[in-house]
Amino acid sequence: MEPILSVQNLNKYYGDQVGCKNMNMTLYPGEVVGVVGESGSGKTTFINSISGNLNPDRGKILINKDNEIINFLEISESLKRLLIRTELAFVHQNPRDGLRLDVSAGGNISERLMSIGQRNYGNIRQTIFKWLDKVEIDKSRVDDFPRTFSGGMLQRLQIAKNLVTSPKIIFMDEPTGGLDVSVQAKILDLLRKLVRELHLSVVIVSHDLAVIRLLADKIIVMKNGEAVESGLCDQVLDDPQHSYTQLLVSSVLQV
Amino acid sequence: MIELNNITKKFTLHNQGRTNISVFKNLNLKINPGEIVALTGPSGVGKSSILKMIYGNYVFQSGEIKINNYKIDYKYPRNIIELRKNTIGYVSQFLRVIPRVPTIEIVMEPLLEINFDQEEVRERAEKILLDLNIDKNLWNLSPLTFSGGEQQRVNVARGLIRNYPCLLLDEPTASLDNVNKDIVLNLINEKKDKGSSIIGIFHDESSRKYLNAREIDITKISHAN
Amino acid sequence: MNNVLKFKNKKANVVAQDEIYNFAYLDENTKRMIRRALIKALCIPGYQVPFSSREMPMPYGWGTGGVQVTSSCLTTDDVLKVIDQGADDTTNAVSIRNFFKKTANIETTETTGDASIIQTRHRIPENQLNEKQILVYQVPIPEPLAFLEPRYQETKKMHALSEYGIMHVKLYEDITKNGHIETAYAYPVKTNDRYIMDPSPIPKFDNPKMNNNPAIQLFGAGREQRIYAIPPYTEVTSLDFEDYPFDPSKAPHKCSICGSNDSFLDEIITDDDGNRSFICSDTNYCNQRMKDK
Repeated sequence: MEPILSVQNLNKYYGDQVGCKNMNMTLYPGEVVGVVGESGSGKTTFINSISGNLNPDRGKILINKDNEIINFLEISESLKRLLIRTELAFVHQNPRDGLRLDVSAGGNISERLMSIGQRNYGNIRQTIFKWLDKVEIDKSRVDDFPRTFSGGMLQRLQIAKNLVTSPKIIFMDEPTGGLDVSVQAKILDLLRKLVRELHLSVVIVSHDLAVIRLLADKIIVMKNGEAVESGLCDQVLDDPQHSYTQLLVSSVLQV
Repeated sequence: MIELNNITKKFTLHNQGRTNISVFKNLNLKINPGEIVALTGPSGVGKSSILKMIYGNYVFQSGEIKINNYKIDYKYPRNIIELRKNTIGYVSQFLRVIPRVPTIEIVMEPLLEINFDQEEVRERAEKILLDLNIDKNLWNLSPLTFSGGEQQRVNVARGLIRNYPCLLLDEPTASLDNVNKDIVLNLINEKKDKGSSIIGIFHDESSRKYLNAREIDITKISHAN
Repeated sequence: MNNVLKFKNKKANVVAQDEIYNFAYLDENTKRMIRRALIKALCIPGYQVPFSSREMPMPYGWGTGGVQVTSSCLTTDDVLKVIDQGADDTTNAVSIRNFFKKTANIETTETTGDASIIQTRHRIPENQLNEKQILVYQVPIPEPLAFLEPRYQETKKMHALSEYGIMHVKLYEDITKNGHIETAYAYPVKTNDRYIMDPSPIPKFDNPKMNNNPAIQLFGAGREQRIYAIPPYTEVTSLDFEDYPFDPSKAPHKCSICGSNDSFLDEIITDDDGNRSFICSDTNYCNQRMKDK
């Protein structure tokens, strides 16, 4: 099997300041890669750089689209944005960043459908209901505005909005960040289910090792903009080799 | 078949004065298909560590581990993921699951990786849960609130729902009463008869005898320190 | 300069004070700049061309964009008609007509067929226009995406890359809320199968008239400093859904003056008891019909 996304030697600087450097990653279809590290370690810079939100300074991002390798940093802006709305999806930590708050829940979900040319209201409506069901939002809320939703529901709505066009690669930046623990568990469960059912490939950033342990197959540990250790998720967490990873793992409170 | 050749394993604790803890030196071990190996030795000697190395969960510094002639290398996580998906089953000592996920779904999960027929998978999960005496009323609840014995059995159900060529069992019967212990041991025997290479840790002598396991005392085969 | 000379030669009886204005108020360099924007706009139908909008002797919202476009198009031979919501006799229409009468000393008319340039606020005349005519629209907000995407930079990108999914979100919301597309004016269109365009706040009833129109259609937004255009015989389609097709509906009544069944109607409250009647919004069309009878 070929990787669906491969990042090679990626560098992003903010002036003289290192955002992230010498980053490498391979993501296979159906795989979840977790990126961990303390605040300021470059996790968010990294995920933004590989998802088209930021322009990295150096490096390669190769996306496999139906066996055609696309050099993401060298294609035209229009093709890039087309990929972003069809093949890729980005789930923000704050769902308000990924949703239109003055558009109904259904309208939010419909946007990506219509941007790829769907013009049949009835069909669009059906797809919306299917996705509300998938993310466990009651159908009766379809015409309500997101501002009437709870934090957990907003996040689920954002997930539905992003996944409705069946993108292949999902980027998530602290998707359970602002949620209370019980809601967090439901979202994690939902994400895991979707990953398996839809065979999604996911890059997820979190400072919460427990979240990464539950979701990720592979892990990248970042410090000061660089990957200090990477590998199989449970191996890195259970038998960390790098001193920083050991510190990180031993700093987690046991419940 | 599982093979361990000349394995060296140590832990380096960087944040505690770079302490080196040597666990194994020149460890050799071989488990044939249709065979059950039981690891013995005092606690802390590294019984679980062997299972974890085979599962790709622990790094070893030198030597090689081969699963059906395939070499384990932690530098290629992708291969270990594939190996776990297709070849190695692992019943850990403790159940580790996402809160709020119903028992039945936890048990179904390993099978869903290779079989996409939800209904068929559900039937098989129900059957193994019935075999293991898990009350039907509990199937739709998260096992996190179950008793130790029940959690253990859910863990076993999840590990044994598939027929893996290699099975790693870490105290699968530790907190079970005698009736349930026999059920689990019988399930393990079934897997052996189907040709699995099985390596496990069983704290009680009677279980090891029941399984007719080849006992290996780790202190005798590895020379740490 | 040429225009100024011609202007002086043609009408000798101009009041001296008015000669301090250049022909049609704007100076020649400004008009040239606007004409360049107009030509660019005609070349790229529906595309919003930025231009350096001038202060006009009237407030924003009174048609400063339209007036600048008209000023740049006028020649001494032109005959100007100005309508406001279809009517020739409302304040705005009368003022702008007088403005050009004064500054350009050109001929004006109320008859659609006689005009060579028609400046309009929020209507398209009922009578079919011809190839010799220019229709100048006054536009308050030229950006059709503005209500959905507040970032101007982002809307530019969306136009450039034809990312128009969001336009349909608005229509989706309409259908969801009302069971049909409620947008009744400024109904978005696609021009020449490329750019999505705000047709200015004309009723959607007028949308089909933009399609394949023989006249040149120019749009000027003074405050927002944008010019866009539809060249003659250009395809203009209104956005819709397959199962909710565009419907250029109007009030289901007849004009209570001329009895027309197919012109756009204004609703008039006739007394304190709430009685009302409907009359043609295009006054010239209505008068013409009455005359013909």
